[in-house]
Amino acid sequence: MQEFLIATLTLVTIAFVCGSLLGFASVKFKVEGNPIVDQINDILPQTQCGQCGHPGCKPYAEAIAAGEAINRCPPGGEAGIKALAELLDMEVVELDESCGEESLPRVAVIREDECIGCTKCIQACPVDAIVGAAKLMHTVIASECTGCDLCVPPCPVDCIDMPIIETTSQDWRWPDPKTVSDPQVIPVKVVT
Amino acid sequence: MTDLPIIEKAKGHFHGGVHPQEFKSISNQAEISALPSPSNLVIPLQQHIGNASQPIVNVGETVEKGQLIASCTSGLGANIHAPVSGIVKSIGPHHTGHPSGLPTAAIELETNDQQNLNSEYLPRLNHWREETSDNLRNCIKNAGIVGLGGATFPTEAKLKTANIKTLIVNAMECEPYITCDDRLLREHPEQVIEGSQIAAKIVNATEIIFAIEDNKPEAISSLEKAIRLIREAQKSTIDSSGEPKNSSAGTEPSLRIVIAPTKYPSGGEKQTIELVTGKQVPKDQLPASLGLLVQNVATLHSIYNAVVNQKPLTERLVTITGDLVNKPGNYWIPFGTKLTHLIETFEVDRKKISAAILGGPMMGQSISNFDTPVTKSTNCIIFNRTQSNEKSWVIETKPHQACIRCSECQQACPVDLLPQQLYWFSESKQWEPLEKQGLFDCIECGACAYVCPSEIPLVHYYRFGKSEIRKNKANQEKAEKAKQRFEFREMRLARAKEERAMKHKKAAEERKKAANNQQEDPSGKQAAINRALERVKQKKAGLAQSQTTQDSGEANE
Ligand code: SF4
Ligand code: SF4
Ligand code: SF4
Ligand code: SF4
Ligand code: SF4
Repeated sequence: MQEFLIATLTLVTIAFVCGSLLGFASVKFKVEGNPIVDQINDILPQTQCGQCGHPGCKPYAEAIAAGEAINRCPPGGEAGIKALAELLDMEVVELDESCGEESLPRVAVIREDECIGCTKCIQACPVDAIVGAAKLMHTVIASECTGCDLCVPPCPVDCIDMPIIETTSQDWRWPDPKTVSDPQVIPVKVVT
Repeated sequence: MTDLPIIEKAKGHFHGGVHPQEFKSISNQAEISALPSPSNLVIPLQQHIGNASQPIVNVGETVEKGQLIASCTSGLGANIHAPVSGIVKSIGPHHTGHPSGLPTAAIELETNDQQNLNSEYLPRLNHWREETSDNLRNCIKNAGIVGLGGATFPTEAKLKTANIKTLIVNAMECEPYITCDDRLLREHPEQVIEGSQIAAKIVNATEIIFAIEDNKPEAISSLEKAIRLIREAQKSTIDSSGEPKNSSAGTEPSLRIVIAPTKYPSGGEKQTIELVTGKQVPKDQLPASLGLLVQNVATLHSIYNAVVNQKPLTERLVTITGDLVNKPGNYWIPFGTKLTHLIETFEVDRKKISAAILGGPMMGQSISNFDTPVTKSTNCIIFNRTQSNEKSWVIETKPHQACIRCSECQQACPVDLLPQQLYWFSESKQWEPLEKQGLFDCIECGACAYVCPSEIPLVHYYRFGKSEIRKNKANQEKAEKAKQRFEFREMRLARAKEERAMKHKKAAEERKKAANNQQEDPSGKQAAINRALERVKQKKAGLAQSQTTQDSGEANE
């Protein structure tokens, strides 16, 4: 009889802990649902690289909402700072160089024959863009990779490259007319 | 039906438009002819809207003229057939005239000397009047036919539209210099008409209207003659059988011609529709919403070739013109023919040109790399002097002046946009208002740039804006996906952590429980101790007893 009571008590305790955790999570979610944080987060590039000093874009969005500087996200660059300044009605400032430099978009590529399958990179990737099983070769899903660089340092055999994404004829864009003088890209000019 | 006049005047008109000098007489005098095949061809795998085709031949393979060499494997796309017999020399990136100057995938063919082979590479059909729409559409798909007016949208997909009442044949050909549709109608009106009848049968259209500008009187009269003959033939079958409903002639779509005043860009799809029907296609909708389907003359001719002659699309009629061309005119040119070959054939003085114009001078593209091949979209090639004293169209790259807000561009715009506003927003990179101003309704006709006194390359600014906005949208989509994946991972990690915490808690509780159990049962423990003590006592007592017996025994001895 006594044993039965104890088991019930344990279960009740577990249920209570679960419930309070869930409750806590829902409260936390409410805070995260803060519209200004969401709006800021929508502007951040979601590279999740941590260069801003936060473990991802959303934490930085929360920090900005709490008053942190808006110029700490290198992947967002100038355009990102401009958009944030507009949203928050603040001055446009230069990118904080201590965080890093704005660079061209990159993608991780694993040199597969050198990979030892240690799974370290999988654990580091903030967007689950790497697939592979222990002791087997790993691969990056290029379309999901944000180019955040976080998988490179943990790799014990240094087999991850971060090349700049090359422009193809598919994603090529018409250049700013103000910056070109090459007749190749200027539509025919008509003179009569 | 047959009593309706064959020729009608256009009912409607569209806003704006311009009247550039035509220069059509340079190329519309000579009869259509063919050229000797070039020895080396580069056939791009993407000559159409949709996905690039996948090569199905290998390097070193010998292919025959008309053989399928690249096929459309999924989604929107078009087959590509060998334009000549020859050997596949390479498959890979080639210069194909992409505006970026970047190489794109292509098949390189080296011609061999067995060109007279004329194999049929499309499945044989019954006479098309007895075939089903599906079979006819399939034939058009197999033949790799795309819109040859310049849009290169796969024709088979366009012919899937339902509820079509009227097929409009776009014979406007409004751009200066271009005359290939004009010549095709002058010389082969019956073939174009038959092509249009096939298309009309596929979509169940009840009338076919040829829309043409009034600057092509010869084409109009040859069309009229051909239509009159058809009407007479239909009449005689009706008369002889007496029962028009039972004869095939009774269900034939009616044919007529609508003549529009010459004004650029009357050949734009929506402009043509406005001219012919007097109605505007609602914003963001297709012509099908008005029961209309528009097809270009050359496209219908290639449908005729595919369905009647089992000929896949491997060449097209191209206007070769310009003041440096010897014997300008319209020629059947196999896809993949390089400009270098044409420069040689037409004795163009290379010293006098820095670039050729592919397409018309209003919407075309200047090409300075002469390795560029002719593709399904190439309707015209202009070789003009780089500098000209005479009145001519040249390629200019001098810096433009500031916008003076004269609103000439606004008056010229056929879509009724505000080009100066579009320019302003694009120039200052204000993408949101740029899109709101209707940037994506702009058909890039160039009418605004043509009239602009400040010579601003307006269309370039619109293309720039369009590609930036498209890129931003793609980036946003990618960021959204990354955000979701990031949040999912956070959730997963949080859950894993929670589960771990739970496990620890549970284990700790288990330990506590075990300890408690022991404390709550002191009697048992004590009993065990007592029992052990008892055992020790008993043992001691037993030992003492036996010792005494031994002692006594020893004493007894
Ligand atoms: S620096 Fe990296 S993690 Fe921080 S907001 Fe920018 S993209 Fe996100
Ligand atoms: S694969 Fe590497 S670079 Fe790409 S998102 Fe993951 S961690 Fe970042
Ligand atoms: S960290 Fe390096 S070695 Fe380890 S699985 Fe990833 S790529 Fe392979
Ligand atoms: S025509 Fe040229 S100068 Fe005049 S308003 Fe338009 S863009 Fe400005
Ligand atoms: S290019 Fe665009 S904006 Fe200019 S006239 Fe044509 S449709 Fe109008």
